[in-house]
This record gives sequence, structure tokens and C-alpha cells, in this order.
Amino acid sequence: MTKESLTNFYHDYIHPLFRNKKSLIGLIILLMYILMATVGASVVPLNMNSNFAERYQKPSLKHPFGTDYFGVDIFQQIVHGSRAVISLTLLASFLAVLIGTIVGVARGYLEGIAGKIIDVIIMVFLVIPSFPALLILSAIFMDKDLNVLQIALLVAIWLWAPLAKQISAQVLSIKTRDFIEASKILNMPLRYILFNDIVKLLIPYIFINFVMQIKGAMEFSVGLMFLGLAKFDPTHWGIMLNYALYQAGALYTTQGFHYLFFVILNIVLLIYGGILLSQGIEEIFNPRVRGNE
Amino acid sequence: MNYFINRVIYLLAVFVIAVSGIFVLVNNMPGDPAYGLAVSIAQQRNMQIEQALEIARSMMGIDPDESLLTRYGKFMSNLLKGNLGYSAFYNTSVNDIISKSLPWTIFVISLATLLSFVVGIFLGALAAQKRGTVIEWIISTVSSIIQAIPPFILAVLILFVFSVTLRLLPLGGAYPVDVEPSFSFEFIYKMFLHALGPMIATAIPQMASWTLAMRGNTSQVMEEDFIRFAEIRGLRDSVIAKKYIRNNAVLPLVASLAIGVGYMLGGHTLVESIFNYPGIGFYFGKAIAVRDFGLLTGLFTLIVIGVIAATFIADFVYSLIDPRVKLK
Amino acid sequence: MNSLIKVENLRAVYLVREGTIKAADGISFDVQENSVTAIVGESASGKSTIIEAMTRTLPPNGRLLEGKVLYKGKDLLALKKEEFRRIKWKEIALVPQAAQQSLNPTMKIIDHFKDTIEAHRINWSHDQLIQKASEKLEMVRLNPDAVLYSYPMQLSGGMKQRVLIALALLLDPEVLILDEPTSALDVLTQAYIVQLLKELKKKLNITLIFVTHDIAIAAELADKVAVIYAGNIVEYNSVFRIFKNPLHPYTKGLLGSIMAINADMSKIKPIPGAPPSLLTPPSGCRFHPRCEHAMDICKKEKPPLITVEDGAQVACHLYSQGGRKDA
Repeated sequence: MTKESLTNFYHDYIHPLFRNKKSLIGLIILLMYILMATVGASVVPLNMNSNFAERYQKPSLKHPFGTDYFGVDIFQQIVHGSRAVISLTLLASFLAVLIGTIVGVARGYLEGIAGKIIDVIIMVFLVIPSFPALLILSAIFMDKDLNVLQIALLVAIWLWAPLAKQISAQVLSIKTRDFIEASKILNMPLRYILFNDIVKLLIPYIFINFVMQIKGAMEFSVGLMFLGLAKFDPTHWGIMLNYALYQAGALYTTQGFHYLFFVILNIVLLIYGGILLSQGIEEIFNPRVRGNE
Repeated sequence: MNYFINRVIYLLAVFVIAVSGIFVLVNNMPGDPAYGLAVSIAQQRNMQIEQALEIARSMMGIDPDESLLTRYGKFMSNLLKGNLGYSAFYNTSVNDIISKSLPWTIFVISLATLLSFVVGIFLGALAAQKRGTVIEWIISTVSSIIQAIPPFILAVLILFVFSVTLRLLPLGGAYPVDVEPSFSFEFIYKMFLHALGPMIATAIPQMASWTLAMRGNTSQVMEEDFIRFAEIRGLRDSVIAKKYIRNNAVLPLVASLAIGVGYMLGGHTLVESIFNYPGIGFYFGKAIAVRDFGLLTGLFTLIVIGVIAATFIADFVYSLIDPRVKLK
Repeated sequence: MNSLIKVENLRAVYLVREGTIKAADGISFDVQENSVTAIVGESASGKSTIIEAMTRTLPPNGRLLEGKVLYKGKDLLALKKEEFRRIKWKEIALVPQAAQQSLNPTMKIIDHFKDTIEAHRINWSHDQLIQKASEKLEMVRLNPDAVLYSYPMQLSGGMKQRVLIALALLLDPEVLILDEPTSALDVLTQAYIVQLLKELKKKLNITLIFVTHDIAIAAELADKVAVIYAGNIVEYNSVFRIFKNPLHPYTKGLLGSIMAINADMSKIKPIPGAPPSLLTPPSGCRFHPRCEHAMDICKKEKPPLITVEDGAQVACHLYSQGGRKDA
């Protein structure tokens, strides 16, 4: 890639992200958590030893988020858990977008019976209620220790379908547009038609979807952990949520509220960062959505 | 007509594949489908679990040597007869459980949908028309934040705040244990009270997405030429807002209304479980917990039917109300 | 004959990210009662801006800087919103440019008529409404039975354009303003609409103002023609005299570049150069960069619109010295 195309890329795609208020804040939030997951987890110590004397302490200088039922510092758990959360969520989102894009573009290109078959497959995944199906799927693997990739895949299976449907619709409509016909007339190879024309148009779309998948991936993965259906890193926020409600009974006493509060706060903040970023990207590439200029 | 038939075949294919997939999935779950029943039999009759298992299996008509294929065949043929299976844990037909629980779920979902749609449309239109003001900012930001809260966490928070802390709402069940179901005012009142928790937990996330969707649509419609022409003709702002902007903006949302209902059936599982509300979702959660394969498969099938039906109805209704589609 | 409308020194701009587009730069002209006035100019010459400013339909990024539009003694631009809303359509009706999207897709045509009379608090009975609407539709040569109960998407572009005109005529306005009435249509429909407008001009006691880039349409319909270049009126004269004896170099160039079937191809000369950007318009007379008669003063001072012989008006330094210079 030439230096000029790099600067163009920056100017067209990266710079606007910083200028738009929403995408900027969203980006900052996400980067903060990524930082937490990479640097923070290495810097902040994790002391998981139970210390009943200190349990359920309110937030203080010593314990910024307080302590949980076992006296373990909540802040430390959040920071370390962020590693599990971020890696699982981003991986699941990426896989969902990957599968969705491939299937969607393939459907857009295949006509006739093959196309209809893909349609049916996509529809099947849309029709089966995602979360319950995810629960069943993970119950099947419950006794096995799964790594990040496998869990991410389990989650991604129930996320790719809507994207595939939208992309296939887009590709089908773009296919009939004039300039692609022109490409064909000029006798350019299929590969050229495929990548250059269509993918270029879909890039902002896919990117927005990837960021929106963060919401879905988070909901599914946290939900899964919350229900105790997947063995995973105990500092994962979903598992913390599970402890908070089921083991420690934080629901029935107001003492443990800060425990619940901080876990939920971080979950919501992370998802919100994703939502803001995707709203910002949408505003950039679809000026009509913008507010006052 | 051709289109209609095509559509039916398509949906039928989807249905068959989906249900078959679910069947395979569920039957691969670890655990013995007869286990739940066997435990209660063993306890009742004071016998060894192995014996109880045999009895349970014969009661349920399960042959452990049966291949998956045969079981599948039985399931599908039952399905054709309208029989959704048998629940081992509750020792009754799935259809029976559905008839007890489905009304509650429908009760909550329809109220929640109505509420979230009406309020969401109103707020969304308001936000679009008051673009750039504080009101719009508040509506948009609050809606976005609500979207960031996973629905089951919202349900937990509502339960925590309203039921535990403030003791405003009951902790669970469709109606209190001490009141007899009847048409008395007291019963109906308590019924609504109990439904309030799950209803709000379901309605709020939906409301947020309707609001943002309506805001987007309204903004787009406001830029259209026919709005300008209406202004040129001297039409009052209030008339334009209703007949020209709102009507055109709502149209595409009505289609997603039916589909949204379909999805709510599936996502309702956790909400009902959290509130102990005896609807479809609650039994679904229970079925997973006790490994009641029959009930699980049956309920899954029901939800799939619901979503497909909702999609079909959505297409149909949309073609009725949008003049552009009607006349094609 | 009285002038029904007097436009005085209209100045309007559009705000864009790159700056301000000075689209209407001191427009003044009179419109006589029952006359047909054509405003002719190229695209982006500011001709639509004049209409938008006059009817207070500037887009959100448009700003009226100054000017008066006197109608029956009242300055339309100074009226309160409510007062103006009552005059709008009842006395002055504007038919906008994009006919394709100007009708509400979810409303039948009859409902558009209904809305219009309700907006002006006219208490016609349902039958009266149908009768009046049918009358106007027939005037624009549409079949009321077919059209009234249809939805916009069932009508062709030409039909929709005619519906807009019928709606405009519904309240028997004094003035009808049309923005590019023929632009988005195919040639045959264009001719049809022109015929129609000619008929309306004869049948009704109505004052017509229309904007077009097609000087041939102006030739067919108009009594007087105002030629717009880069936001200024450069010539305002009767149609006959504009074609017979154009005064402004731009008008001459415009006429010289028209192709007619029997024209001598060697005599056709396009005007050299390109229309200026209205973001940073040229100093003085905005036409000077392309004018073969440009003098020093043309770069420095904007020529005012002055009246020369026989009521003809022109904005050019060639004429400002009082006598007429032969070009």
C-alpha cells in the first residue's frame, strides 16, 4: 500500500471517527476497556483469597468498588474479568460478522435453487429463538472445558443470521446496478466484480454491524455465564453476576447492592460504548441521520 | 397467487428444518429424559433408581434402544396430529402445559407490546420534530442507555428495586397464592399487579428501540418533498405532523411489530424465570434445568410456529396497509 | 395595467459548509396583472431562489437578507406567519419543481384536495368538493373518475404534475407560480403541459410566473421575460423584443447558442467559459469574465438594472451611459 493510499484511508475512514462526538466517546469507552483488559490486568494484582473479615465493604480508597461476599476486592475482579469479557465478546462479534458476511455475499451471488437453499438456512436461524437455543447448545457442552474460541463460536452461531439476511439483500440490489453491468461488459474477471465493487460499498455497513454485534455478543455471553451454563474464567463479569445473585444472595439483602451495581455498571458501560460508536459511524456515512450541522 | 404458494412452501421448509434441528439438538443434551420422573417414582415407592428408571421409561413410552431416527419419526407424526409431546417432569402432555401457561405469556407480551409501541412511536416522533433541543437529546440518550442494558439484567433490577426494596410489587407468580381465581375485582387487580414486573421488564427495551427507529424514520420523512408541498399549500403544522409525517413514518414499523412479537416469545424465557411468572418462558427454563426433553422440544416447536406465523402475518398486514405494496 | 407584484431588492443566500452561496443578489422586478412572466436562466443561476424567497419557502439553510415583495400593498415577507399562511395558496399558489415526490404516498388524490380546503377553513360539502376538484382536474385535462380515488404511485409523472397544477388552481388564486413546470418530463408531455398552460392563460384571469431553463418554453408562453445570470436579473423585456433585439451580451449569447432544426450550424456559438460559482462570485458585473465587451468598469462596479427605451430593462454598463451603444 502506498503512502498516499494510507493517508487517504485515514482521512476518509479514521479521521471522521474522531470528529463525530458520538463515535469519539464510544471509541474512548471501548479503548478504555481494551486497555483495562490488556494493560490493566497485568498491572492490577488479583487476590482471590477469601477474607471474610472484609466482606461486603462499601467502596473506599482501599477497595474502589468495595468487596464481595467473600471479602475479595471487586475492582480487581472487574479489571481481570475484563480480559475474559473483551476477548470473548470481540471474538464472538468478529466470528458473527465473518460468517454473516460470507453467507450473505454468497447468497447475493448465487441465483436459483442454491440461493433459495441459503435463504432457508438463514431463515431457520432467524426463526429459532436465539437465546434459548444457545442455552441448549451450551448445556450440551457443559461438562467440557471450553476455550475462548469455542464459546465465541457457540455464541456467534446465533448472531450471524440477521447480518447475512441484510447483506444478501444489499448484494442482490447492488448486483443489478448499472456500473456492475458495465464491469461485466468490459469483461473484467469475476473476482474484480466481487471485491472491488461490492465490498467497497459494504464496508461501512459491515463495520457498523460489527460494533452493534458487541451488544448482542455481550448479552448472550454474559447471559450464558449468568446462568452458569459455561465453565469459564471466574472473573468474567457474567460469572460475577451469577455469584452475586445466586450464591451470595445479593438480591435479598441491600448490603450487597454495590456488588451488583458495579458489575452491572461495567457491563452496561461497555455495551453503551459500542452503541455510541455504531451510532456515530451511522451518522458519518449517512448524513441524513445527523442532527444540527 | 403464485407468490403466496411459494411463500407457504418456503415457510414450511423452514419449519421442518428448524424443528428437526431443534430435535437433534435437544436430544444431544446430556441427561436421561426419564430421570426426572424416575426420581419421584423412586422416592414415592421407595425403590432403587434403576428399577424406577425402567418403570419411568415404560410409562413415558421410551425405549432406550430406540434410535434417534425412530424417535424423530414418532415426534414428527405426533406433530402432524397436533400433539407437541409429553412432559416427563410434570407427567402430563405438553399441550396441557401450554394451555395453562400460554395465556399468561400472551397477556404480558400483548400489554408490553402495546405499551412500548404506542409510547415509543410518540417519543420517537417527538424527538425527530424537536431535533437539536434538550428534549431530543434526553430522549435519544436515555433510549440508547436502555438499549445498553441486557434485558435480563433490567428484569433483575426491576425485581430488586420494586419488589425487594420498595416492596411495591409481588415477588412472583401470576397471582397470589391466597386468592382464588375468579372475576372478582380483587383478583383482577392482583393479576395486573403481578404482571406489572414482567410487563415493564419486557416493554422498556422494546420501547427504546421503537423510539430510536421512529426517530430515524420521522427524520427521513420530514425531508421529503411532499412535506414541503403540504407547507406550501398552507396546511397547518399539526395536520402535517399527523397525516403526512407520522403516518408515513410509522408504516415500515408496523411490519416489524409482528416480527418483534415473535422474538419476544423467545426472549421472554429469562424474564419469566426471574419473576417466577408461570408462562411459556418459565416452563422453558424449568425444562432445561430438569432435562425434560419432551417439554423442551415441544415448547421450542411452539415458539418456532409462533415466529413463523408472526412473520407471515406481518407480510400480510403490511401488504394491506401500504398502498404502494397493495397495488402491485 | 397595474403591477400586481413588486419585488424590491431581494437578496438571499444559502449557508453551506464551504461558505455562503450568494444566490439572489438584489433582484427587483414588477409583474403586471394577468400577464405571464418567465424567469429564464441556467441551472444554479439563482432563478429558483427568487421563487423560494418570494413565497417564503427557502430551505432550512437559506437566509433572506433583505427585500420586499409587495402584493396588493402588503409586503409578503414582513407578514406574520399566520397571516401569510392565509394568503398562501388562496391568492398565490406555488407549484414546486419535483412533481414526483410532492404528493403524500399514503393519501388518495381526493384527500389532498380535502386537506387543502380544510387548511383554509372553507366549508364545502363533500359533494361540492368533488365537483370543484373534478372541475379543476378537467381543466388540466385529467379524468376525475380515474384520478380522484387513486394513489399517487398509480399516476405517471405528467399526470402528477397536472394534479399539482389542479391543486394550485383549486382556490382560484390570483397568482400562479410554477417552478420548472416541464423539466422532469419527457418531450411529448412537456409539449402537452405547455399547451395546457396556454389554455389556462386564455381561460382564466390569472397572473402566471414561471421559472425555466428552457428559453423556448418562455418564447411560447410568456409576455415578459426576465433573464437571470448568476443571481442577477440582466435583462427584463417583453418576449417579442427579447428575441428580436436582445440587449444584454448574455442574452445575445444565450439566443445565439440555441439550436433550431432549420438553423445554420455555423452561426451557433456557445458562450465561452463556464457559469461562475456563487460561493465566490466575480466582482462587479458577474458576467464580465465571459463578456466580449467587458470594460474596466465592469470589473469594479455592478451595473444597476436601468430602464432604457420602451420599458425594456437591462443591467449592463454598455447602456448605463444613457445612450445605446452598438455592440
